[in-house]
Amino acid sequence: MIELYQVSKSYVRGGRKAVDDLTLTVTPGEIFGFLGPNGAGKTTTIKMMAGLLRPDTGTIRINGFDMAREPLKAKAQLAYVPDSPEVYERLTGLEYLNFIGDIYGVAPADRQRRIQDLGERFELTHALADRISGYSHGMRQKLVLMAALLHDPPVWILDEPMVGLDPRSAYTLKELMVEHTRKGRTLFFSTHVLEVAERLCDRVAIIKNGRIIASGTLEELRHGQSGESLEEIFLELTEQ
Amino acid sequence: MNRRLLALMRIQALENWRHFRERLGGGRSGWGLLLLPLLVLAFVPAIAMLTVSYMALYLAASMLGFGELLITVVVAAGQILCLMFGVFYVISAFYFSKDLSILLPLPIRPSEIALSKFLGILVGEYMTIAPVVVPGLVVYGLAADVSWTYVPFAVMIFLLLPVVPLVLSALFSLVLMRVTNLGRRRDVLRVVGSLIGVALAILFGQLGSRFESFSVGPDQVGQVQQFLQARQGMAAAVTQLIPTSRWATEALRAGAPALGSWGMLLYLGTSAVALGLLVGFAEWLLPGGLTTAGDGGRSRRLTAEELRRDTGKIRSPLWALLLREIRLLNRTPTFLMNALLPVVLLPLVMFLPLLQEPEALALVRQVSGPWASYGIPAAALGMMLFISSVSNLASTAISREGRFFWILRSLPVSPTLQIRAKVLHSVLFNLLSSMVVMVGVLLWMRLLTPLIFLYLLVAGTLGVAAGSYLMMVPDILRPNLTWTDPQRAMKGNLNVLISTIIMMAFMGLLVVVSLLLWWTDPRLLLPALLLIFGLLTWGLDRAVTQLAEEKFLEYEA
Repeated sequence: MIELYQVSKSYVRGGRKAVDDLTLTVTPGEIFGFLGPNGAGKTTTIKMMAGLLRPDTGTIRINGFDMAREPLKAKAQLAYVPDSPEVYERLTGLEYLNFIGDIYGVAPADRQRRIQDLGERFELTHALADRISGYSHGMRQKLVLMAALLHDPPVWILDEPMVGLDPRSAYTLKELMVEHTRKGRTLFFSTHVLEVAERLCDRVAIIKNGRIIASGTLEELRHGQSGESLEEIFLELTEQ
Repeated sequence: MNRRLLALMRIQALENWRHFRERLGGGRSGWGLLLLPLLVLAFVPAIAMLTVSYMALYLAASMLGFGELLITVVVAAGQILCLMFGVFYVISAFYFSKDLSILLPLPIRPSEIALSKFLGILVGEYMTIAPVVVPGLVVYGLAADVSWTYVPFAVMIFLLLPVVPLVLSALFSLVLMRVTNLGRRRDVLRVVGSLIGVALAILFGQLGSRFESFSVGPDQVGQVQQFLQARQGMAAAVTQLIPTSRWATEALRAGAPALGSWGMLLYLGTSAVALGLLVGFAEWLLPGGLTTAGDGGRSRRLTAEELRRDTGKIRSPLWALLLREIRLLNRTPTFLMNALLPVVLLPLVMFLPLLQEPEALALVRQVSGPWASYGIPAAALGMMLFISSVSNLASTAISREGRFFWILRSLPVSPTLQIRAKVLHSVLFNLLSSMVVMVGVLLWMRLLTPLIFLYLLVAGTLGVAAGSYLMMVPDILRPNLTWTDPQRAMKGNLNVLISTIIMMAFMGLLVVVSLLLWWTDPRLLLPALLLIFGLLTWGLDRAVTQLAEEKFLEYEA
């Protein structure tokens, strides 16, 4: 479960708020899509949820753990995938996965099984012995996804996870997302691909200028709007 | 000048200025610029010494009838400096710039890109050569009976001075990158560059010791005269090798015919031809020499057996963090060379002179009494601290994370543990290198005993740990995490300078404390130092990890 309560953040003291009084809850078993134009505050929100940025005000809880008070316990609950797959280029893919496995204390048998399974699903096993510096953008994105999912966390927070993935890997990821929530776990992701959000998400929120301007199921969003598809609703809402 | 070139130059200037400002200030605020006067002041003693040497050279040479030798020397020195550093600047700017992939698809000629980058390098070169060249030109201008053209001609000569050597460097680089595959092995290039740097440093050190006879002493002018008389052919050789220095001398020397204009014209003409050559060659060679990043590496399928073997054990988070530090350092040549070279060079510079002074070495070997029992181990411990303070490993520990810092910050591992892993890494690296050096030196001096070895191991571990914590503080407070070139995390990191100053002050304090202990009772010295280092390590661990717990939350990367 993810809970954000009255969260605000500005990068310049007293300046414009990148995130303004944001409150939302993502319940277990739910895929939650986070939409918004460029610069709306999506990545800032996600970075605060992952513990990379400290909110100026408000509370963030991951599976009941307050990110400010118990950051290590909160971080242990989640898988975070950033919008840009920057990983240590001097390590091999396997060395990186082992490092992440060691930090999370993933047992050797589980680690081996997960690496084998995720490696085959993302078609990356062949490259795991290579240095990451030789990976393409898509391969790095797959590695970051594998590392994030290695410890089988209950909460996934993914920032634009489809960017750079080939169609087969994007399909695999969508499958994994659905499998994850079927187990009663939580998933929060941002995307600009509205068709994906429309097809996958149980609920979505649209953020603009740091504030949530609409939130709910697709049916709830349609209420009061002339558009039918999520794309039409998104354009209508963000133009206002 | 055409519109495209102007636009390119504007963007290069903006980029270079912002980089310089952020490098100095560690951020966008510009507060760091306040340190600029301090940095300038730091060069004042060296410039003053150089000026005195130039004055002595001028006086001596003018007595022999060729005072203008000073101009030849400073112009030649400036051009040699440009040539030496130019190759690396040019390769870095032409081939390893991140902006080339953006610029090349634009409707801009390769020669315009090369020219704009060249002009950017030129500005950097002015800063490199100014402390060497400007004092010489000023000394000659004030001392000699020069005409009114001296000032404008001297300014022009200074401004054009780097052109010819830089074009030579650029042409060499263009050909090198076109005909070799070095661009794909930029790491190798950097290691080779560093090794050449070491060789040059040692070479200049040796030359310096030979020239020492006229840079010090009460009768400088007389000594310079003797030196010049012994090397009558030197001026001729220099002017033959670097004709531009002869033309510059002709343009500026006192009593030059027609105000030295023919020398000036030749100098200007050569610079213009050099720029023309650069434009022509860049058009031809630049695009073909461009390469993509990537270090090759192996490419083969991971076998099930390898996967089983490599995932077969679980490490503690501290061990995993330490292993990561070791791998990243060892596999990033820029980091490794920056950490290793000073540690290797410093003892060479400090102890090599002893090789030439067998009497001093014999004297050291005869040391006995409290000096041998307490003084030597304390001095060796101090040397170990000094050697480990120059590796820059602790002072760049956070900055080296760069854009990958999100990984550590998103993991469930506390800043305290991260700092301890970094300190442990710094201790292992510095202890190993400084112990090897000091044990080697003490063996050579025949002063090593098992007890001293044991003391150095224990006290050295604690001392290096305390030093590492201390040197990490500036980097925790203001890390440079936005670099794209690893050099900027180490060499271009102002935190290195700040932590070196802190460390020097710390070691100065230690010397005072040691002297007080020595005067009280020499037997107190070694146990007291051990106790001090132990307490400092404990206290600094608490303070620095607490600082990291607070500051790590504030980074907005």
